[in-house]
Amino acid sequence: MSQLDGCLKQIEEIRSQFDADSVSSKAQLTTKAVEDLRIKYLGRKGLVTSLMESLKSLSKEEKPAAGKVINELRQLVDAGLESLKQEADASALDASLSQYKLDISLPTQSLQGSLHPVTLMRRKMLTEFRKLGFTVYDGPEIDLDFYNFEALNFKDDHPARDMQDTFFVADRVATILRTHTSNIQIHAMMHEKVPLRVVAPGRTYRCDSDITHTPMFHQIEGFVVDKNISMGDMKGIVDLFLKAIFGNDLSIRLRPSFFPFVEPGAEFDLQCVSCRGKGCRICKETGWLEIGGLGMIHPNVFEKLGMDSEEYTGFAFGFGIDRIAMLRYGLADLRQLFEGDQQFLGQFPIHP
Amino acid sequence: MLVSLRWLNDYIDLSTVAIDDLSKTLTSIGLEVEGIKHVKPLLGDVVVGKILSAEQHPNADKLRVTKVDIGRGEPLTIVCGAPNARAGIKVVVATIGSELPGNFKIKESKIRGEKSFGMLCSAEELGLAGGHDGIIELPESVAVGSSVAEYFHMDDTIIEIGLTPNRSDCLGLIGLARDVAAKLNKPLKTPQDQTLGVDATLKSETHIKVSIEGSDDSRRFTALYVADVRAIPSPRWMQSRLLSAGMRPINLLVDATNFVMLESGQPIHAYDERDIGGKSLSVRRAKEGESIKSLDGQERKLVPGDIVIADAQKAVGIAGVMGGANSEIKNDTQNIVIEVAHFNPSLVRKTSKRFALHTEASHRFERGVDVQNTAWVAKRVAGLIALATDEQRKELGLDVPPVRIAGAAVDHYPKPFTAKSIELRVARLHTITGIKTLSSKGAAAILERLGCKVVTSSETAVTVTAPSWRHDIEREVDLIEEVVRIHGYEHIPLTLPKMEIGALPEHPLIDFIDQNKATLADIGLHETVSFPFMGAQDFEHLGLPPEHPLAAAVKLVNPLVEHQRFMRTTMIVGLIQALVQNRRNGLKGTRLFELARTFHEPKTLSPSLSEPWQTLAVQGDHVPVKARKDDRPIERTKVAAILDPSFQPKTWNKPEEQAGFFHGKAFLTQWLASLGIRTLRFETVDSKDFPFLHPGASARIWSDAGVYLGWLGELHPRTTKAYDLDTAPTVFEIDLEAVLKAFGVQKSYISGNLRFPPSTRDVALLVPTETSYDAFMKSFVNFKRRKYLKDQRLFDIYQGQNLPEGKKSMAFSLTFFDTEKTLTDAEVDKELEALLGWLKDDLSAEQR
Repeated sequence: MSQLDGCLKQIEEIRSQFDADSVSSKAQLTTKAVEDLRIKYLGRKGLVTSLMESLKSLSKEEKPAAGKVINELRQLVDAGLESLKQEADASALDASLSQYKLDISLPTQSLQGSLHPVTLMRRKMLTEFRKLGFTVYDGPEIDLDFYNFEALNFKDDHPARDMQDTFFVADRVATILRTHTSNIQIHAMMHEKVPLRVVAPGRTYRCDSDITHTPMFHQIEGFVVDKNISMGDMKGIVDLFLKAIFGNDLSIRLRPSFFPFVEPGAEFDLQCVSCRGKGCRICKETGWLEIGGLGMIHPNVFEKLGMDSEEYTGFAFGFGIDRIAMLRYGLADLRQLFEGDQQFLGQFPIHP
Repeated sequence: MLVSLRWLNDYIDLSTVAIDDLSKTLTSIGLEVEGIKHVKPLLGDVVVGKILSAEQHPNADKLRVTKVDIGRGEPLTIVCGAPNARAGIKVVVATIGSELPGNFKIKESKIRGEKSFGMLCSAEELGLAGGHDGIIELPESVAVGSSVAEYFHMDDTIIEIGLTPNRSDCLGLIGLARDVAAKLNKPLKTPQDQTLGVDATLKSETHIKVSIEGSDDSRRFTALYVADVRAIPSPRWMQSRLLSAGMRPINLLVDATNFVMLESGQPIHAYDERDIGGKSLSVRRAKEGESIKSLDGQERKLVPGDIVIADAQKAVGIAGVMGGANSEIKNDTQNIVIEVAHFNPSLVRKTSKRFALHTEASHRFERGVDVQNTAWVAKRVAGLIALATDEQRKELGLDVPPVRIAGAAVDHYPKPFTAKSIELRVARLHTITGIKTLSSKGAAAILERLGCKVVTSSETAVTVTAPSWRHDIEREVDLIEEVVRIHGYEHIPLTLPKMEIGALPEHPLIDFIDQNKATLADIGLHETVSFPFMGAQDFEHLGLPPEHPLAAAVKLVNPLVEHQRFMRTTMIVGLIQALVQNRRNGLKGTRLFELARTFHEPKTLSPSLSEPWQTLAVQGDHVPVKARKDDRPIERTKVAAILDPSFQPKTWNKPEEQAGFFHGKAFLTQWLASLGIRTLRFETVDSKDFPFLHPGASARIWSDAGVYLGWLGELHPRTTKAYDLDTAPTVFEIDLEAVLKAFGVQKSYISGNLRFPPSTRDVALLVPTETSYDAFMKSFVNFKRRKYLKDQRLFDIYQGQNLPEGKKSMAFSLTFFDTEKTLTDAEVDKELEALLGWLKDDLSAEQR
C-alpha cells in the first residue's frame, strides 16, 4: 500500500468517524459539545489538522491529489459543524425561552381619559348635521332680552314667558341667562345672509331644579331659512337626524304645540327607546318620548329683523342634548351629569 | 288642567269614543294629554236599599237590626248604629264583598251576637262632604237596587291636559269640547238659555251702577242683580264636578260662579249686595297707600299699577286676581251682584306676580277671556243658581224662596269687539305645510268648525274672521296652523329642503373646542361639566379682594341658592367642588378638565389690568361682531384642569405617585404640543395676581410666539384649607382663544437631508443656585456661534455635598447635527468650547 493509499484510507476513516460523532452528538446537542467536536477534528491537534501534517510525507506527485481530498474532508467537517452549531443554538434558544414566561394577565396602568356623554352626543349631532349641509354657529350665553325673547315674538309680560323660568342679571338692563339656544336664530339672521342652514349647540339656563331639571342644561338649536321651506322639509330633516342618532326602527310623531317664535308650532316625539311604544316608566306609560320643540319661523320674527316674511320661510327646532344623551346611553339620573363624579365620567369613551 | 270626562260629555257626545282614542285625539290637536286617571271610589255592589223594618238590637241599646230590600233576593239583615236608621227610608247599602274608599272591605260579621250582611253608609264613609250624623237618607224617587256611584256621579275619568299659554279658550270645558268637536266633526252642545226665575220687572241698574276709569284696564264690565238667593249646599252633580276639577264646594252661590268659570273659561265674582257701598262698582287703579284684605285673609298693600274693583268708598276686590274679604258671600246673603268682566291681561299678570298670588281667575285673565261672552256668562250663573235652588228645594225639602233674576244686566262695554278679516291663500297654505291636497273648501270647513266666520271664499283663497275667544289668531299663518292642526300633522309629508350649497363659514373656534376636548381626554384627563356659578364665599376662599379682576363677576337677581349668586369668573371653582365631592366618595386620583366659558362684568372690571388678566376685558370671539357692540358681559372660553395630589396608587410595577406642579406642567405641555405649540415660556407669578396659588409653585404661561395663554400652579395652602381639602391639588386654566391664536402662528419645520448621524456631548455646569432652567434655555437660544447645536436635554440637577456653597450643578446632554455631513470630533469640540465660553460669560457657568 502506497503512502497515498494509506492516507486516503485514513481520510475515509476520519470521515466515517465524523459522521458517527455527528449522529451521536445529536443526543445531547449543546454549543459546548459542538465546540468539543471542532477541537477534536479541526483543533491544533485535531484529526483533520494532523492529516495536513501527514501531507508533508507524501511525494510531490501525490501531494495535489491527497491535498484535494483532505480539503474536501475539511469543508465537509466545517459544514457539518456549522449545521450542528446552528442546531445547538436553536435548541439553546428554545431552552432559554421556556425559562421565561410572563404572567400576561398582570394589569398595566394607562392614563386613559374620557369625554363627557353630553360632549359625545354633541359631537355626534354636529357630525350628522354637517352631513346634511348645516353650519355650526355660536353666540353668547348671557344675552339681552331682545335676542332671547323680544325678537322671538315673546310679548312683554305674556304668560309664554312663564314657560321659561328666567335668571336675571343684576345691575344691568334687560340682561338674562339665555333660556334656550333660540337666541342664535336672531344672532345668525342679523349677521348672515340667507339662505341659512345652521345648528347651534350650547349651554342654556332656567331657574329650576328637581329630578328632571337642572339650572344649566344643553340644547341644540337648528334652523333653515330660504324661499319655499315647508313643514315637510322640517319633518324630513328631523326624521333623518333622529334616525342617525337612534337608528331606523323607531317611529316619530309630530304634534301641535306652542312656542311664540314659531307658527305653526310642534313638538317632536320619538317612540320610546326602552319599551318601543308599549308604555313604560321611562315614557310615563305613553309610549312616546318628547325630544324637542320646533315649527315654522314666525313671520313676526322675520319682520322684527327687517326680513321679508312673504319671500322667506323657514323652520327652527330645539332639542335637549342632555336628554337625548341619557336616552342614547341609557342613563338614569340627569343630575349625575353635572356632579363631576369621576367614577361615572370615567366610563365614557373619547370617540362617540 | 284637570278635565272630567263625564262633564266634557255634556258639551260633546263622546259615548262612542274610547278613552285611548280620545287621548290620542286631544294630543293630536295640541291639547297634550299628560295623564289619565280613572276614578272609581266604590267597588262591588254599593246600591240603593229601602229599610223594611228596624228592630232594637237584643244586646245593645244603640244598635238596630234592620231588614233592607235591595231589589233582589231576600231582604238583607244589617246591624246599624245610626240614630236615623228607621223603616221606610231609602239608604246606601254596601253589600258583602264591596269596598268603600280607604280600602274598607265589607265582610259578613257578627255584632253583639247578631249577624250582619252588609253596611248602611254615612256620607263620610262614601268619601262625600259630611252632612249630619247618621246614614244618608236618599229621596223616595231613587230606585231600589240602583247604583249609588251613579247617583252621586262618582265614577269618572279625569284627563290631565298640559295646556299651552296661547289656548286660553280651552281653559273652559266648552272651548275644549269645541276643539275636539272640530277634530271629530261632531256637534258642539252648548247649555240652553233658560228663563226660570227671570223677572223682567227687576232691574239691575236700580241696585248697581258700573263705571270704568281707564278703557285699557277693562274692556267690559257686566253686573247682573239676583235677588232672594240662599247660600245652600249645591246639588250633588255640581259638587262632584267641582271636586273633579280640584275645587272645593262651598255653597251654591260660590259654587255656581266656579262651575261656570270651569265651563266657560270666564272668571266670575259674586258680591253680597249689602257690602257694595253707594250701590256702585267701578274699575279703577289703586290709590297710593291703599290696601285690601283679600278673600284668603291676607292684608295686601296695593300700588297704582294694580286695578281694583271699588264701591263708592273702598276697594272691594283686586281685579282679576282675588275678591275682597269685605264683600264676600256669607251664610245669610240674600241678594247678590254677579260681576263678569274683562281685565287687562298684562296688568293682572303684574299684580298676580307681585303678590305671588296665582289664582284660577288670574290664570285665565292673564291669558285673555272672551270679551263677547260676559253677558251670557252672567245669565248662566244666575240661571244655574235658580235651577239648583229649585232642585234642592224639591230634593232636600228646603224652605227657600224662588230666586229672582233681573231681566238684564248692567253692561258697560264702551268699545265692542270687532272681528278682523284675515285672508288665507291656498298657495301659501301649501307652501308652509307642504300638504298640497288641502283645498280652500276644506280649510274653510275646518275654520268654521273652530268658530271662524267665512267672509269670502274662492278656489284660491278664503277670508274669515276669527272668533272673539281666539286671541291667538292674528294673521294668515295662524289660520294655516289651525287648518293643519285639525287636518292632522301626520299628513305632513317627509321632504328635504331644496337649497343652494351653503357658503356660511364656520368659526374655527367651534371645531377647535371638540378637537381639544378629545386631546385632553387622550392624554388622560376626564371631562366634567359643572354649573357655571359661584358664591360670595368662593371669592373669599380664593382670596380675591373686590378690586381683583376675578371679582368682577356677573351677578344674578334670582339665583336658586346663595352659593350660585354669581356667574363664575374662573373655572377652578367647579373643579375644586368636584374634587371635594370625589374625595368624599372615597375616590383618589381625580384628574378632571372642563372646557367652557367664564363670565366677566366689564362695569366693575378695573380699567388697568395686569397682563395675566387683560383678556377679561375683551369680548369672546364666539359673540357675533354685531352683538359685541351691545352693552353686555364678557364671555371667555377656557380650559381648566385639576389634579388630585394622590395621583396614582402604587401598583405591582410602579410605586405610588403624587401629583404636583410638574404633573400639571406635563399635561399642559403634552396637550399644547399636540397643536404644535412645543415651546412654552413659564414665568413665576406675582402673588397679588394669583392669591389662590402657591407663590413658589405656580407659573404664568406664554407660547413661544409670545401669546399669553394662562396659568398653572398648586393651590395656595390657605385656599386648600378653605375648601376643606387636606392636600393641595394642582390646577391650570388656559384661555382657548389664546391657544387658537398661538396655534395659528406659522411654524417652521426641518426638512431635507436628515441622514447624517448626530454627535452628543455631556457637560455638567456649576451655576449659582438661583439660575433657572429657563435662564439656560434663553442662553442656549442666544448663543451666537451656534452652528451645529440642535438640542440640549437636562439630565441631572445636583446640589449639596462636594459643591461650593450657593452653587448647583446642572448637567446637559448636547446634540450636534448637520444636514450636509457627518460632523468630525474636531468640529463638535470647537463649537462646544465656544458654547462653554458663552455660558460662562452669560450665566457664570463653570464646567465641573
